[in-house]
Amino acid sequence: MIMNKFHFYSLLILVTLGIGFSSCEKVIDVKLEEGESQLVVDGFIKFYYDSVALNSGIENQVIKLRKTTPYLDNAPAPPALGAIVKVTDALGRTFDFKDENNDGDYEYSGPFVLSFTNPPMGFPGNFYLLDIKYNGEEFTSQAYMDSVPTIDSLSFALQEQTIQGPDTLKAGYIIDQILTRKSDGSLQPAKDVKGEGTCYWFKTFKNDVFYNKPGQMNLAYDAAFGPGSDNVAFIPPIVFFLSPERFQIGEKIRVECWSIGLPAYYFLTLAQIQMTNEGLFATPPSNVPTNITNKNKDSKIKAVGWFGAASVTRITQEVK
Amino acid sequence: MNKVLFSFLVFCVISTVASAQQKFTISGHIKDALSGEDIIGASIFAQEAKLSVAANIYGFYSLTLPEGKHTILVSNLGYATFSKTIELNKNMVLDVNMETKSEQLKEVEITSEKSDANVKDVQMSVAKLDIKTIQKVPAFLGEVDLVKVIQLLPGVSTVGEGASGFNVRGGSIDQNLVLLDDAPVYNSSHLFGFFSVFNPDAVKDVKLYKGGIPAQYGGRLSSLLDVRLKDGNNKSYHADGGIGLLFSRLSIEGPLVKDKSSFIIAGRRSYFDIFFPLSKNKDIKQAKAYFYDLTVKLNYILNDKNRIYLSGYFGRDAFGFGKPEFGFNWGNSTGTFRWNHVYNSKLFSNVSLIYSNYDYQIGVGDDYDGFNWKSRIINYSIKPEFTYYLNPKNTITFGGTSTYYNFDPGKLIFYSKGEKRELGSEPKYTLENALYAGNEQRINGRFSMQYGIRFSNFNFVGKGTAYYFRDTIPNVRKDTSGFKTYSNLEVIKSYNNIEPRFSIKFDINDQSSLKASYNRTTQNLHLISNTAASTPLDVWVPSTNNVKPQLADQVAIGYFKNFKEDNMYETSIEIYYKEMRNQIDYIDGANLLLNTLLEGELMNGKGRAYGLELYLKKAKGDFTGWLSYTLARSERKVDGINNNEWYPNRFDKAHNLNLVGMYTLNKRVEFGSTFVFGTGTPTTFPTNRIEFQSYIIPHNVYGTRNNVRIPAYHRLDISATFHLKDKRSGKYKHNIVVSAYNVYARKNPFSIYFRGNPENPQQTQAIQFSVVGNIIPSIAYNFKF
Repeated sequence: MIMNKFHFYSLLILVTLGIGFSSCEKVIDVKLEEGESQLVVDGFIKFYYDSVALNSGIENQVIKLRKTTPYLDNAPAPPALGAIVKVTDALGRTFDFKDENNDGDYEYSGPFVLSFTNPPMGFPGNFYLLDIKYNGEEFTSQAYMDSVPTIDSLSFALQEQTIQGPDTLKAGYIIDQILTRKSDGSLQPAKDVKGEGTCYWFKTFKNDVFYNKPGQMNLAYDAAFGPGSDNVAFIPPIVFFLSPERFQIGEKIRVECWSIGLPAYYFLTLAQIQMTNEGLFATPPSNVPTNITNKNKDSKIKAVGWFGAASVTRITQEVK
Repeated sequence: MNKVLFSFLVFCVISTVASAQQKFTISGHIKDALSGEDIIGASIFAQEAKLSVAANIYGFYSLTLPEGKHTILVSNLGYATFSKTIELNKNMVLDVNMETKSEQLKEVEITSEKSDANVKDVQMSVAKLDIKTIQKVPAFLGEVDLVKVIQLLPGVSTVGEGASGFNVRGGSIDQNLVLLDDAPVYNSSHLFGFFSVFNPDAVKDVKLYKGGIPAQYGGRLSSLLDVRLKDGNNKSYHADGGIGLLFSRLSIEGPLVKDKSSFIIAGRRSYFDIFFPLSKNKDIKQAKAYFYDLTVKLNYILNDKNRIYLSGYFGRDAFGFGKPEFGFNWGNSTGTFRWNHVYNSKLFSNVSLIYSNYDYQIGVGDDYDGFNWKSRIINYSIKPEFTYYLNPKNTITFGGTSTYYNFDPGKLIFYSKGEKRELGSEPKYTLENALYAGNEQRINGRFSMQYGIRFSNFNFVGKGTAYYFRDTIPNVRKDTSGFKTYSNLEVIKSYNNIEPRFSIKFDINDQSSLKASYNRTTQNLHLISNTAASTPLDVWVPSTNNVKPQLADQVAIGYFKNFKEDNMYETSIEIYYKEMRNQIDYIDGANLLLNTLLEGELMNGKGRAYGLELYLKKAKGDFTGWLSYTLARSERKVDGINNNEWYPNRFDKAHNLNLVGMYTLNKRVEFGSTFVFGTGTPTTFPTNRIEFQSYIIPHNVYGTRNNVRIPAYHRLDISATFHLKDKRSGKYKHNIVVSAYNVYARKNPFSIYFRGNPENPQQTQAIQFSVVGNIIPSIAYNFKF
């Protein structure tokens, strides 16, 4: 994140000096080598911690199976059909995920039980084993669900119209604090959960539309970007990046904080680097890792993607 | 192999001593009569004895001759030949003040060295540039830049505009030892690599060693860029200056004590920020953005035998934006104290005390909400060096260095709602020592050799923590298996290396020679950078228990020939082959900043580079310039990358062609132009897309690296210098330089990358990125008095 800001201002300097004005990007036609199609696994077992606690944990769980396509082929990824998908948890329960609509979205849609001895599938501290049988191959993966801090309120601050680089930013509101309600009723800045290496993916939605650009992916390691920032309030750059643009009165803003665990943090950080690897400070392109393995180690058929688990807090608030 | 070579060297030295006879020695300093500056590399020739020697970098020479009458001729390009007949019956001192030839002639000459040095010196793979040449080459935004001119020499290349540093014979940028008056410069760029830190007004001489590096230099694998500052005029006061589009410059030099002591102080500062308050853009209005450098040198001639020099460089780039201010700055500072001492007419010594520091800082906010990130590297060195002019056939050099380094790879202190936290890695300390001895020996009229040996010793010491890692699958982050803490100066890990150096020359005739060289070099400082254009935030780390010293072996052979009378044309062909071990690479997606366990992100590989270099230079006349062509390859092999196969380095370019021409039309007008052509650098293209959480992630199913090349790079620059008429006294000279960079506005690709359409990230596209996509005109005014 610091790097993003550093790069942004570095380019601003170059633009200011006139050197940057001369730099240019142009969309070109290239012919890419063809690669064989692979299975893509895309799923997080989730636990939604809502302020309305009754609803917690009873949403459908979805694991998407798709296939890779040529990079410049802009059609939606084709579904991987006919797979057998099972998830087993730490309590020894096995959940069958079914592709009812034949669209590659394998879902577990209940029954949801809400008892102390037989809790819902998703809860912090639970552990999941994924097993996928597809086209004669068997793939496995595992994930652990971490805890998440509660977010009970957003505080907005008005920003005057400013010019940033070549863009004019009109006046509007940004999120300047994310707050947790203490037992005494007071609101305090939300803190990272105690314990080194809790990692988060913050997502912002405006009127239910997700800010989906790779550059808007907001990832945190503890309260900052690395070891040494355990259990303090999330630092300003992370809070700052919750507002990809200035919001206007009446808009409905939703912030979700996904506690995704360290392995998924590394995976998403790399994915973000690869999707935003542009300009002067680009790094050599490389493949993102995967935690999906073929049970048959000798098989040449590999899968890609990620299987994870996330406990999620979400708060929706209208800008007033 | 090393033992055999060592015995051979010992034999050479012994045979040399045995052949020494009783003779007398003439020695002294060669200086410019007008300014009192030492003249580097002037040739001192004893006519009757047909023996010659070159002055060293402090202008000192020593020549041992038989008793009797000798005519001594001292010559150097741009100067009138000095001649004196002496009766040698005891050791004597002859200091020579050389008169410059007419100004007109001096202006058109391309080097200050004797004109056949390229053929006659044992040294090969060396390029010398004087500041006059550097100033004539068309410059980006009109700012004279010696690093950019270095990139026009054979065997030297760059990834592109905005990439800092340069690559020598397939080596990475941190494999160049850049010395400014003996002090290492860790980051030689201003403004992210667009300009180098060397102020041309203060530079006297630049020499680049690409191979056959003498034993007295060490510490980097690929090259040595030796930048020497002017001493300052010790007879009268002068000023140089200029106003360009980016910098304004001023340097002043003059005597402190006439004929004994002088100074030079040269400064540059960018001045575009004075226009910021005029901007309507609020961000720019409040912004801070400038860079400056200050170069200072003093020297004092205590007496015939002792002279001291003090030089320093201080430079910084500083930027700040927004409220609370997001600021960052970086800079080098160096200091060198040197003491020249002439023990006797045959033994010359120089002892240097050296300090160098590079640091950067990024910060925002205060101690309630904010952070401050700092990183730095500091070294303190002592370097005694001796030259013993045994006899006209043997010049022996020996000495050593000892350096203490303090690395602070990066520490982030941040405050969140008043709570303080620190992250990043702890400082590291190292002690590096080296001893060397070498000899330049003339075997007979046709054969000469230069050989030597360097012993280097590197110690990673406490106070600190050594981390130990488990061996895992290549290209996967290594887990720690433990750590151990060490107290102050306790040795954690040591490395010793023997570095043989050898060059030989055979004169085919008066105008042509064959040369060959071998050298081993080691490197214990590593720049951790995963970008093509290195950023100021890159960190230097030492060899440790996990990071091994880099080693290189290079062999080169070359043919050198000059044409026409007075060596009008110089040509050379060189072929080199270099093998490198313990090259650092990074796991996919390595986290290189503020990482205590950084060493777990590093991989170890090997490298190889080979090539052919052609060079044709016209050094005299109204039209001067050079043509250089390099055919080269630079590759790497690392377990876990590219399916364990060799792959080309990011800066690999098969063809590199540079044409530099300078033409003096008359006393008032000069033209300059350069044309460069280079094969496109390699990059990696994806094959497939992975759709994940509705993001599109690029993926190469074959896992190959650098499997395609971006289109070729070519560019033409031109400049014209108009010398204005002197209205004042004849001493005041001024000119206007008009130049254009990238004349035909080619959009040279720096990289090709893939991304989602900014409006619709699901639609992927290929983007060609050019750093400079237009013609860039500029104008500068320079003066001198």
